[in-house]
Amino acid sequence: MAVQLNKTLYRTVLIITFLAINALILYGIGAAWTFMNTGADKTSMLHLEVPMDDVYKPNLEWSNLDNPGREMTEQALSEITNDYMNAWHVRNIAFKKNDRYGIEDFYTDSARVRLYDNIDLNIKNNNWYKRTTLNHNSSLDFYTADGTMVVFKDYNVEEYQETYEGETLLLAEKDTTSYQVMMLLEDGFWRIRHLNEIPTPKDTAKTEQRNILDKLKKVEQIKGINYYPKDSPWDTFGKKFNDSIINQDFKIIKDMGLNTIRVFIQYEDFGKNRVDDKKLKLLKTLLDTAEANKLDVLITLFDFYGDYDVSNWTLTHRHAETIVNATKDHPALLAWDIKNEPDLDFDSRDRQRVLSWLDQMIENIKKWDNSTPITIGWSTPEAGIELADKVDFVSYHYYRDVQDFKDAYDTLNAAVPNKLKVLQEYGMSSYKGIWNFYRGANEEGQRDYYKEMQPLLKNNNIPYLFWTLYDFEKVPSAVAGSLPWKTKKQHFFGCLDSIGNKKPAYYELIDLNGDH
Amino acid sequence: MRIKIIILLSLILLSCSDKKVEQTKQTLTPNTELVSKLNNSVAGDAITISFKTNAHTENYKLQVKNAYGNVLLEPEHKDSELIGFNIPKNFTRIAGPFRWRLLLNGKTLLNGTHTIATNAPKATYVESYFGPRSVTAGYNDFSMLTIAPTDAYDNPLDNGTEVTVKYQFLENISDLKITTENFIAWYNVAATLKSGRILVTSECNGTTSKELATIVYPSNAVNFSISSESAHNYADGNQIITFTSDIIKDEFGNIVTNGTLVTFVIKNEKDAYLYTIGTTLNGIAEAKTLHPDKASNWEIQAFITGAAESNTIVFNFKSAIKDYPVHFSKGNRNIDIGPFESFMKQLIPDGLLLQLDIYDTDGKFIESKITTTKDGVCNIYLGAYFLADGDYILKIKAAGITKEFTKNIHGSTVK
Repeated sequence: MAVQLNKTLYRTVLIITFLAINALILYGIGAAWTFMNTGADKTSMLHLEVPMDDVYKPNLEWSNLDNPGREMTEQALSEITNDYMNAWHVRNIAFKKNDRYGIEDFYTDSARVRLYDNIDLNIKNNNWYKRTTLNHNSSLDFYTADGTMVVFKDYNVEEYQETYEGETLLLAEKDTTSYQVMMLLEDGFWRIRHLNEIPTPKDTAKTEQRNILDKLKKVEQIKGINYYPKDSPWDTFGKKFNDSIINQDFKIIKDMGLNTIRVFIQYEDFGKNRVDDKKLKLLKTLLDTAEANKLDVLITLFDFYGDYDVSNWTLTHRHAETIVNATKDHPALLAWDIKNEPDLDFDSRDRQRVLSWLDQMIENIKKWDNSTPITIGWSTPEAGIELADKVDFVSYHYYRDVQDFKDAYDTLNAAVPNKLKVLQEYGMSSYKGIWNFYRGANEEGQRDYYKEMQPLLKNNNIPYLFWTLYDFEKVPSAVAGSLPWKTKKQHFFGCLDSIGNKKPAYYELIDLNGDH
Repeated sequence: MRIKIIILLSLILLSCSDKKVEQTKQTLTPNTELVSKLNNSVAGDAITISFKTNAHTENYKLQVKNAYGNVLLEPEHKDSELIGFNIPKNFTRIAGPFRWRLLLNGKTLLNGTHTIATNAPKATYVESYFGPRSVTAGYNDFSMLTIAPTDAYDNPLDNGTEVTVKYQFLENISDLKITTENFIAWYNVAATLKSGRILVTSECNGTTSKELATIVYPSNAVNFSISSESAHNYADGNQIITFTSDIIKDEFGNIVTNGTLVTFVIKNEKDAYLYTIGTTLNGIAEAKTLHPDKASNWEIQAFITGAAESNTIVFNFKSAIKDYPVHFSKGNRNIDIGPFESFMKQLIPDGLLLQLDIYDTDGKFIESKITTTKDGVCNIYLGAYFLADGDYILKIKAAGITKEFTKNIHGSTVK
């Protein structure tokens, strides 16, 4: 009897242990999966129906509306423009999915046949295309007296296209083409009837000379900090935005002898392609406050954006365009950092896709703002070689051992000798507790880190921005997930603790000699 | 159990493995040369783009891009030194340039442009649009005829293609030649002075379009005159008076469109306004209204709002009822009025309005009673619950005649 009971007991224990181990493993895989996806825009998985006006917003300007037919009204023009953009959009989607969906809404009977034939051919060949247009310059030729037909030229259409065969990217190309278009108004839709390629006129408009030398000189002298207010980390421009708190913090930063702060603008928080005016005002307030405290501001765009897909490039353009145009003349603005640590998305989003997005974004921001340098905040010195010829200065982050820093820096220096390089993020958490098995640095360890790091930076004339001012009581789960052993150390990177007391590291970071 | 643990461990290890960055293989680019030197053709012609290569077994692809889309082609034949790509029909039929790129393992080896001209000689189709489909007679309005001729493969014809436009109105047929620009040729067909239909058609390279029409509607009406007509001019509240316009025309002599709204405004001697409405049929508008029930002098004028007005005419109504009897009974509480007799001593039609105003002897107004006639008479009963015994002044108004009585009302007879 006793033996049998024992046997049952053993069995139960074994089965329970087995189940528990399995559960743990599944949970571990799940957590790993979540970790890999942090930073990504999760809505992109849902493929939600988005309203028509928010899916395709390339830059379109009408240069000429004179025509011998009928006077063009603003209302009619916006309807034509809208449907013309929709026509491009449905065509891009059709070629991406090889699906006829939506074509009949924006192409007349005879025009859609051409597209259908093309789609059928691509299905047969197992090809598909990711396409988008970035820029249109339209000029009206003719608008009939009864307002039901319009002919216009669309000059210098910048198109970006990726050719896929099966799942392999075969070719990514960018070209500039001009078209002449005839559209008819049929049951409330403007539909494309004819679409002809026409010769592209020589671009006579001279690209304005960029004038970034003054600011680059300032970049050379950066002694700065990555800034979040202590009560609203990763949410500078949120509900808790308070200009007097920011002012106090900036005073502290200035008093430490620093000259630059780095702030982050979140893509969704700022309203995606329709940038929220209120948020822009907050950004201006922050810049004004920085200017009053004689601090320069390095603005990081597209924080928490992680899609990079060709089909929403145009939306990110409108986002950046609004912010850049609104703030480019602000004296406190030092540089544009397009994206924070985009190399972390290489695995989940495909390296090429991320790089193409960054590349065209650099190009566009250069177009909108010719007096502010551009950089990308790579997560490691090794990643700093990516697009090094495109950025105005290279930014990289370093969270590894101090001993290895010089080597990593020298390697980067050798690979990109002609560009200024900024250590845009580095630091040490002073968390030493149960969640890292008491292996981390404590506050003294943090001080020692800086004690070693700061002279190294100074001796090599490396511009730096350390992470960060305060210890944070709350860290949003979007930053490092919600598992305590991952997020805990994020709370303790400050040189001041969460109530503002100076930690030992603070004294290593003040730099009162040599203001620029 | 041990096996299980090993499997689990290896699973965990596997899940930790990292993706290796693929090393791009360095391959020699084979020599490739474009053979077909022809870089233009006519829509519909077959196009083959051929290359000479020293490595014909390689995986060459040709990407072709035109205004509508892209296609990625495999070589049709690659058994010798030559590889050739046949451009698909739906690309050879679309006029305009197309660009090609010869790809090998994602690298562009060669690229070029081929231009396809429109093929009008093979066939021409004419698409025409005409609008607006109705215009107003006169010198200002027009309909626009837009002609978009295409070739056999639905390509818009080149700028400068000649198009003949013909249009007909009544006996006149005109034709003229215009040329296309920006896909289309257009002509404004001016409205005529006479109303009617203008038919248009067009022709290009021997192909004619279908017939299209616009309707020329008459322009705005000009001032007109009206007349009135009635069986008699007694104010009997029963007869109908008819107002009629003459034939209303526009400035070019076109009869205005049927259904044009004409408002007849009537002003009486007390400056009160009445109105009645008619619509035109063959230019004539007719509107009717009832005679008044007491003598009146009417001035009538008609308007087409915002466009035209008529002369003013006058119509005088004579009183139809000369007098009427009033009979008091039952302590003067019961009042019988009538019979009302019209101009031929006939009983008036039902419904004549009668008003009794009651005042006390000091002339202070107490109450009104309103009733209408039936079968030529009407009756008012002033019950005791309504009016206490006493002397009252009673004023009766009907058909424009007022009668005044001072009566002692008494008794409590129930009706």
